[in-house]
Amino acid sequence: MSPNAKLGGAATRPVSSLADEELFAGIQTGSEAHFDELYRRYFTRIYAFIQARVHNRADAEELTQESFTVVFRSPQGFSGRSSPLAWIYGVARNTVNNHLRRSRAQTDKLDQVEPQHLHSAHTVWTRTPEDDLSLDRTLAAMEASLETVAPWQLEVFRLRHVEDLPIDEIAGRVERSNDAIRSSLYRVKRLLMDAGAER
Amino acid sequence: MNERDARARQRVRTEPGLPEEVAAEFSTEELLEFLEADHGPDTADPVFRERLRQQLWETLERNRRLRGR
Repeated sequence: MSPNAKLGGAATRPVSSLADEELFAGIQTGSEAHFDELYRRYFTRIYAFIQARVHNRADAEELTQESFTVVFRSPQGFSGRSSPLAWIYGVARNTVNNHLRRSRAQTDKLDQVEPQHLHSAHTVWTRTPEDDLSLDRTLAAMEASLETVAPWQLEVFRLRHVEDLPIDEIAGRVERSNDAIRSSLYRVKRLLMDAGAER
Repeated sequence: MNERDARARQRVRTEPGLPEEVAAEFSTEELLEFLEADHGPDTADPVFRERLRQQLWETLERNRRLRGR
């Protein structure tokens, strides 16, 4: 059904003619028509804005999902601001900027690694009790963060990093697009890295 | 003011729900680019678009039910 054909609750105006504030208000009452219209209105704006900055479909999907999650986590989040458009734009911009900052920081860290440290797998690591405790905490944080991941995404991560399967084959096995697989891998990897970094 | 800038300012003025004082938070170029997507090609994967829509709606509904308890 076209969004124009959907009516906003008791009102006779089509949802496509409603202001963003009215759409948010309708969403809070449980109107899927209001949600669909707001999503339709902003999806391409957010996706195109992000893709122009990350130049990568998997990252663009991941960051678009992150932006919308923030927007709809608290639909009244724009309260106190003059415009939902300004608020949503700000969310998308912050999401991209944070991503670019993290990417730059990781690149810098890799650049700073001394070549001899790249062979650390050949060295003997003598662990202290403090090391063990820190490791346990890191693993616990990683396990907790993975509770928010869908089972199919964990399976994708396992197929990629344990079974070492190519993206194409994983996509075929779980019946999802290659981009969805890349996006999922990126999300799980980042959750693990964030959990590790918090310790 | 060039033509592109004038178009952006006009769009910002006429966009519903965007008072001019808010537009002042961002550069005209930034907002122009954000709104230009309305008229550009949709390059997103439709499967991703629909899956995200469903996921967001289910989350909203779940949260609404939890708040209603």
